[in-house]
Amino acid sequence: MGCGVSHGVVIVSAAFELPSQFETFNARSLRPDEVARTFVPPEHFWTIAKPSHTMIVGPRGSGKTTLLKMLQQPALEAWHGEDAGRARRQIGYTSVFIPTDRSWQIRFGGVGPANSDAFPRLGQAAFSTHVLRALVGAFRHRSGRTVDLMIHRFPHRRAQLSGKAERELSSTLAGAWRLPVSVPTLAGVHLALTERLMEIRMLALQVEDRTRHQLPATELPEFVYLTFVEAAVLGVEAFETAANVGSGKWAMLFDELELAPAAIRTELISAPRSVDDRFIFKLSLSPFSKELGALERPDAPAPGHDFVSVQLSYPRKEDGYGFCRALLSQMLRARNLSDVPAEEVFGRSVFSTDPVAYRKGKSAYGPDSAITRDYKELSRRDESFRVYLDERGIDLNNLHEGSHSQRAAEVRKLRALVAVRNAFRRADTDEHKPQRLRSRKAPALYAGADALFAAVEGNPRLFIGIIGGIFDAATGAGWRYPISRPIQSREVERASHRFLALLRTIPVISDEGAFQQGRPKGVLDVIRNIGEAFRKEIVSGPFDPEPFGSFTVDSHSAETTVDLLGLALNSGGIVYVPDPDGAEVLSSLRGKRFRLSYLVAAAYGLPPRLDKAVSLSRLLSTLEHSGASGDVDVQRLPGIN
Amino acid sequence: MSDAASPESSQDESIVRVAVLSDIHAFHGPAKGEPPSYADEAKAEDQWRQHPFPGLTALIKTSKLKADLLLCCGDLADKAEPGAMKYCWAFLNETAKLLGARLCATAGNHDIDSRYGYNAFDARGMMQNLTPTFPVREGRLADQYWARQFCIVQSGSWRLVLVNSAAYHGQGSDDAQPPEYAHGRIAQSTIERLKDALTPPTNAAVNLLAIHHHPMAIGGVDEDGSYMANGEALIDLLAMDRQMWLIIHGHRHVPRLLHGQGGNNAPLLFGCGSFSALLRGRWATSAGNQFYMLEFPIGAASSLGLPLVGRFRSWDWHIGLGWEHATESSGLPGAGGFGCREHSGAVATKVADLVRKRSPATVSWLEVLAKYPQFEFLMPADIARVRTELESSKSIRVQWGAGYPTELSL
Repeated sequence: MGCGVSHGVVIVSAAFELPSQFETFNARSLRPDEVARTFVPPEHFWTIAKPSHTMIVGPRGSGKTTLLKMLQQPALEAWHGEDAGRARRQIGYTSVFIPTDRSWQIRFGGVGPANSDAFPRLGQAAFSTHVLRALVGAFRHRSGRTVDLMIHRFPHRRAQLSGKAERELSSTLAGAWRLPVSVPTLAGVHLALTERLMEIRMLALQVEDRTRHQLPATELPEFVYLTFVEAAVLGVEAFETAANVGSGKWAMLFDELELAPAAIRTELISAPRSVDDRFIFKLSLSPFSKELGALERPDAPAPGHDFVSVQLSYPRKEDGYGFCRALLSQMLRARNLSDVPAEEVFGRSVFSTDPVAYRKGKSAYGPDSAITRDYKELSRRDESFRVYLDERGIDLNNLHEGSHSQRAAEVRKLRALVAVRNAFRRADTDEHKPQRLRSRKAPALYAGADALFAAVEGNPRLFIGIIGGIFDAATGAGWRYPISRPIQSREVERASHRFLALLRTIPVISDEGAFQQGRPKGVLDVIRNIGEAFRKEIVSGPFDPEPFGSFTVDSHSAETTVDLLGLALNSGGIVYVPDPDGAEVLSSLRGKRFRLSYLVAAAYGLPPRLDKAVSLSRLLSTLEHSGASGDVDVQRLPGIN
Repeated sequence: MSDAASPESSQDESIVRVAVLSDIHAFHGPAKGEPPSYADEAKAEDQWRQHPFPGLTALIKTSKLKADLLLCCGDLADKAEPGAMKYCWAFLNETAKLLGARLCATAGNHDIDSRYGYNAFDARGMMQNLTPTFPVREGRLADQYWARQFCIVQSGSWRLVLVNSAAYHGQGSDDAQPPEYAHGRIAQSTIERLKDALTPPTNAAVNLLAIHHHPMAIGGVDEDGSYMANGEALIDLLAMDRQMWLIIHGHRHVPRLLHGQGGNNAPLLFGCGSFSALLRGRWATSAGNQFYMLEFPIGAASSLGLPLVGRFRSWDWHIGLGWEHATESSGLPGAGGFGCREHSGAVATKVADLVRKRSPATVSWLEVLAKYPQFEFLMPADIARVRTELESSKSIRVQWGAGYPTELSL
């Protein structure tokens, strides 16, 4: 776990493993065939599956591990469905999946100076050993040596390896990799590599002991100096010779690189430019790390040239809808339900701006329509909205006139703002009596297909968690379409609360002596500040048809705040909105634009839409000047306080 | 050396107006890592609240700003990027037209390709080939700027010296430590030539000198030694001149206003904040991206018996909001003055006496200025000291506006 001190506050670096809700859906603990059982390929998958170097960027829970695991032979063989055949035809390489392991980061745990060479060398040795062990695992899969818990129905890239050939191969690998192999089989080599990991750990402890007692350093064994690329090249050549399969491509899949030591991460990021071309590198990592400056050097691999970059977050929510619909279909089928459109299952959302949503038998803008009712209600409660209507010459009794014109588009665009202001804003005529509760229940605002799809941000883990919860509740309440809006909204609110509670658990250790009042203490604090500032802007402040809804991290934003935002980005609390052709992996947040995730936005009564940007320092300064949002009916807000 | 005639003249002969910006650092995005500035050529300019260029155009139009002179103190582009330099120069020319102003500029270290990133032998070629001509449109003066490291532009009641403090960037010995491109410089030969050029009498009431690098080290700011070598000689030269000078510079991105070293004719130094660079380090939270309008009321200087007085207005750039009046925490406040050197203690005494003589003992700042008009031209730091003096020693309560008092009372 890495830490840095900023203004007296110790910020946990991105190397800390961020918590994630719906952990049971985490693919890390699943076997490839288990992942394949329920896999629905997003459009990204086909890009990732191409035989090219790839960098997969996304926050926790966005599906990076699942996508990589699905490239492996066991997963491809276990995968059923029409997409599976396409994948097996497209993927003409052998994948080797290597998750990041804590043993790659070996540190001196004592007091005083460390033996500066031994620890990073041992960490590198652990890394190389993991790579070679995963490679041998891939050899075993290809040659059918693994114990299958199910019958693989679709053989993919199998290789024939006789017993004699396997013995010779094992001996070759043992010699080249300096391995004492007791049983000359691939399983024996695999076991020997596992034993080596244990030996590395013991060596690290010995070195630590000797360092602590100021004893002379012992010489490290030869295998510590093996480099994984050269060792892997030899291993691949030996296997292909033994199995008589001819030279092929091998994809090294490195997962969760944000947890890896900086030196290893830098080495892998630079690999596309420097490594044997039989290897394809596919790397997954979080969107932000200060150590990703390696990508900004003039000689660094460039996206679009040296590698393909795949973003798993969707700054524009509509880009994730296709995947959500496909996943919904699968979930409906899994429950033996008819595969019907999402709008039928969940209804339409008030946040939808799709013109189709507004076509009805009679005019959607008529005097008795929902839109007109919403607008009229707000104009009664909100003087600033009345002023806006007057200035624009909008007659609420005649909204339906010219319904196909630009006026109709304007009306639709404002509906989200009208909805949240109606839901959460006290009427201007209300006396401010904190004890008085609204007679109406909290509104079921975050319901309907659009709202749900926006809230999950195309994140499969979130989607399964929220939609699964909705389905369970709907079953208990008596299944019908569309599913009750309060049920939907409650699940979104629960997920939102859980997510914010998780953000609270990201440790930030404060030095109380240096801590100043007003500085954010943790990730949740900075998210809360941003959420409340936008709430003032969009909900409680004077009506603005084009409010701010995203922010740019400007020069004046405090360093502590920026560090916390980095953690928020990697955990999915905020979403990066890149410029066209903008960088997809960030080593600095300054000058970049972000929005709150729509799940977080729901906690602050904000509509799920990408509004224009304002500088972060200016946004947060509005909280200092105007105090509490007295015009907001906090009793009705679902937010976490 | 100087151009005494100009087709353009001030619309108001008694006030000279100068619009000032510096250190734009325009670039062509998207940036791989942290962008160098907000002035991204690749970004659409239809949103004036999201880009400082159209933002400035909107400010000029809505506030109906006019000027005699638009001055840019260098670093048009970031790291001498050619496309960005042309983009920025075109913007400055359009802005000058909008202001009804004459455009003058000076080169910064980022404008000279001193590391030969785009050219193997000519570090200044890009700037020298800009159209219209850089740093002024008159070719003769531009040639003098590049050949002699300075030129003098004069029009009516103002005179402007443009000095090239990056003259030797891309030259200098490879063994020099620090390398020449790491700091500014004015050679002694340039000082001598400038002295000769300034010797003949002038009728210019406002005398300005624009350079990119700051001419002297300022404590707490200049940790990297990048100020002008031999800059003290320039300050001494101007201090010995008959006129009172205002030096306007950029480079450090730290807005400030102070007196140069020397006697009571030492020049004033107006240090511009950066127009649009992404600020870094400890200055990031205490300096803003700023644009300025300076006014020199010649008649007021004359009636007050002061050699040079002026007012300034500052605007800060905020993404999403555009250019807004600056606050005190961004460097230079939204409004202020310069040219009056009266000691803050004496000022406080006069103000306190005025308040005490009133019944009720309340005076507006405008009433103070009516009696002591020179106080309008106190520098922000001096006004702040006056406030402290009034509150701590004179028991005068000060209501404070945006950089100056509004009301004083017992």
